[in-house]
Amino acid sequence: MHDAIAETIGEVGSVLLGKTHQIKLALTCFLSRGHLLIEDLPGMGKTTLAHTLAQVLSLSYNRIQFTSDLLPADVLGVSIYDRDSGKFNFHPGPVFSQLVLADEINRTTPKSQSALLEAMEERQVTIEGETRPLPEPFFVIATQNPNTQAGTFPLPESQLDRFLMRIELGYPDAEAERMLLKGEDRRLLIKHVRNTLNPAVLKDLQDQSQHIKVSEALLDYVQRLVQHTRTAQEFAYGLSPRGALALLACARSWALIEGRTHVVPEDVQAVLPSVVEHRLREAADFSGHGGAALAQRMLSQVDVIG
Amino acid sequence: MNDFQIPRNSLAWMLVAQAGVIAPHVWSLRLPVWIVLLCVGCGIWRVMVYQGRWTYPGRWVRVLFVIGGVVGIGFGYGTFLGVDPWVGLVITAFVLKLLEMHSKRDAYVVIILGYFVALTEFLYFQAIPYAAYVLLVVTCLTAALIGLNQTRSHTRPVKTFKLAASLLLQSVPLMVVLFVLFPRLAPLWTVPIQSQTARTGVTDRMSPGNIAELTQSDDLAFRATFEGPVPPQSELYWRGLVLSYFEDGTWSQVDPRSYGPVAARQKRPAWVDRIERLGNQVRYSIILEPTNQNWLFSLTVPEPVDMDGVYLVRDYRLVADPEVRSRLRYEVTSDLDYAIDRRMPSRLYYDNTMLPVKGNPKARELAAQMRAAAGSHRDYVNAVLRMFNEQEFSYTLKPPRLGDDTVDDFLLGTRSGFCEHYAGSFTFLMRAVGIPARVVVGYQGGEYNRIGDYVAVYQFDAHAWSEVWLEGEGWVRVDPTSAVAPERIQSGLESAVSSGEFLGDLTLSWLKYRQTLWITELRLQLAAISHYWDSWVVGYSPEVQVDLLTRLLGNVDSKTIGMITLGLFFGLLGIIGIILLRKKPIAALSEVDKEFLRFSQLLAKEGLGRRMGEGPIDYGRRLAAARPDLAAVANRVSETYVTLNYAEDVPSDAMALKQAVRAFRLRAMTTR
Repeated sequence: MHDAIAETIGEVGSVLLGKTHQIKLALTCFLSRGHLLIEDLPGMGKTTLAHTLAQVLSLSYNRIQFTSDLLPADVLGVSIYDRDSGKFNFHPGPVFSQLVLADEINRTTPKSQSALLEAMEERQVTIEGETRPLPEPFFVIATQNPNTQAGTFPLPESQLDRFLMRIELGYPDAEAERMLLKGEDRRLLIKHVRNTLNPAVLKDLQDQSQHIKVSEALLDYVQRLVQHTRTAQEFAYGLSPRGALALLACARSWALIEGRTHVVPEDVQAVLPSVVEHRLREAADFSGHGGAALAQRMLSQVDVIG
Repeated sequence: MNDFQIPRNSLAWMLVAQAGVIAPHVWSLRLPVWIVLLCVGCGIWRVMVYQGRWTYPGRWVRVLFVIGGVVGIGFGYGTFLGVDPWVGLVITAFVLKLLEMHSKRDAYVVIILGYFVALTEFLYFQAIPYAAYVLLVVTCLTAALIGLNQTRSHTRPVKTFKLAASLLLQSVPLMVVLFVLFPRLAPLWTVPIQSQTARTGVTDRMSPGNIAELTQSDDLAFRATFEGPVPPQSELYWRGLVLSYFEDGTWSQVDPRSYGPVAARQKRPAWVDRIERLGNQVRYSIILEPTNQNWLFSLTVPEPVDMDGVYLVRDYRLVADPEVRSRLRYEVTSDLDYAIDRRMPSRLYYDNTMLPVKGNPKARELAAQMRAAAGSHRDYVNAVLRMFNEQEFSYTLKPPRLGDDTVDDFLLGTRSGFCEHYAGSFTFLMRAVGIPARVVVGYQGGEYNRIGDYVAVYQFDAHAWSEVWLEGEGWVRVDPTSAVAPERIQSGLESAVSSGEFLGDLTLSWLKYRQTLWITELRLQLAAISHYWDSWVVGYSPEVQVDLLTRLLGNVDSKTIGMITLGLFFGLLGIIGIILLRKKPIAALSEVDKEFLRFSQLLAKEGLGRRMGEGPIDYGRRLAAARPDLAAVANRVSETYVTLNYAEDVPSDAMALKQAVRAFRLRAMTTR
């Protein structure tokens, strides 16, 4: 089973070069049944990552490009009158697939944003009084341009919280970039990527993740971390219980990916920045750009043994 | 020049404290008006800078201010000597620094300077209300200090003030300990302080009218605390000065050192041992208010005082060298029954019978007549006293003016006067017939405060009396006032003069209302508190400290006190430190954790300790990378720890980890 995970990471890594850590984080997010938010500049490989993941996990894949004039119906689907049968037929929108890439989610209006975010939370869509379940498994990878860029509607904290993790891809290192420049077109490569996992195996892995051992000592550590965000002066507000649960769930999945049957502090540390950064804000930072530096400081201020 | 903006809270409290620090100096009119205007101006300018309306003054403006300030102080005070101009200079610098607060460091300088200026208040006043006031100002300063370190989101000054107050409150125990125990070091240099509270009191010249003037003041002269019962009022003749030279109606003193050596701490001339002490010994300590004079007050006849700078001189009184510039506390033993100078040196005899050749002819004639009528010197003394008592002499605080022949005018003309009239003319009458006599000036009586158990002597207790030398008896105290107004000696001035005269110019004096019971009670209470404050806080001198600690701890010197203080201080710090160090980790740590911590502490000596927040696996990897020779054993330790601590709910036993650590140690030792 662990081989399958390693293979998956290797397969995705062959397309998205030099980003093993981010790939593992994305996989962690899926194993914890969460949705992923990728925030980065255009052209950093956000779409490539999403598309490749869909491919290796054998998931049905749809991409929604969010624009300022996008309507909720464009996401969820619409009923159209069929003259032949004399009935309204429902035409499901792009959200009805196992992996949805919501590209540039902060370019659209709050109304359309919340259509997707509600679907993410409920895992079902209600249109014209009829509730339609979304496929299993259901993942959303949303990408977001940095808030400072023109034409963005920043997501409020309450909606950021819907995403289990937020990651940044960052520039590739020199070696990876060199290979990228020498290699083939990424789009072509994606087509040749092997299916290493399937939804059934994925579900199995998700179940396994929930049974990864968490010792008292580790819970102590997690609680100390959470407590630190609530008491230290530099935090505008602390981590919610949901945030703490998210942290633990992700640490479990990470441990599973690392091939362990129990969680160790390093697992918590590996996932902590991605899990908490979009849920915290520095007290001195009124504009609210999240706490990238905060998470790092937090890790160096809260001891593992204590 | 950076764009540091002082937090609002800090600036607010800084300005409040600044006003508070300077206010008492303004109130007591010590500061020239222009400094006051400068303070207000700088404050306004600073607020304007804060609001962004004005800018900081440029360099040349500041230079101009500084030069102007120094020159202004030079002209304003006329001198740079003494305390006042320097206090003025510090205050000027203090307010000018406001206009130079470009950085946090500058703000610190202003606040620290504020603490210093607050201290200068004590150069002038040390009473409880002033101390309370300074404490309030210090709290404001501390609030400014706190505000400086708060973020701009703290906008409630009252909260900051409360925090400062609670901080200061918490420091009270430490303050008390330091106050009591910290060695009191002598200053490296002293500045002559012209204390404004110093009252001259009795002077070394007595002419008719000048003691009566003194009785218009209700200022405290000194306080005396007796060991044992307080002698009766009529025995409390506090001798201060002996005046034996008479000329032009004025009595003045002859330098007592001209009569022989003085008795000091290590020196006991022969005349001291010739004093015949006949018992009725009293011991008392006196806290003398500053007088800027060198005479001290004591009951006759005192023993030499065991204190540096206090001497017993030939006319049996105490003097201080240098002058009493601040409150002085000294302890005296006196014998109320005595015989002094039974055999009088000729020099003394000569000085105390001398009179001007001319003047006061009627008085001389009167003296000759009365002496001829009396059988002995003793009878003559009694006859003169009887004359004061039986003839139309009256005792008043407002005596009429006298002509050139003061004694003649008084004895045969006005016949109303105050103690100096009676003492002066009595002494004259004695000398006129060749009996050695002299005038003694000091205080008589005092008010017993039963709450504080001490006798308070006020300026209106000032008094003058005579001493007469009689063959075979030595010097005998004769108080002619007691013949005219015995109630003055029995129960004080108030009962001896008419009701309008006592403190007639002071309508608001507490002491005027001695008849009202509750006012008296309240006044005595306050006076007693003030007495304790003066003797235990303001008067807590190195001697008192050693004395107190000797009583508490046995024989100590300042070195021991220092050692005890340091010992207590560091001991306490040590205990707190140990508690802080041990408290958290030990309580929560499991055996496994402890073992692992010991392991990392072992390696910390080589700079390979575990970092804060570093996980065990990362640590093991770092160790392995740093010491490849120990990689295997190091990994075993970290893996064992991880297995024990994280793979089970609760670590089962620490044995495996201990073994792994032991293996590591062994390996580390063999490879070294």
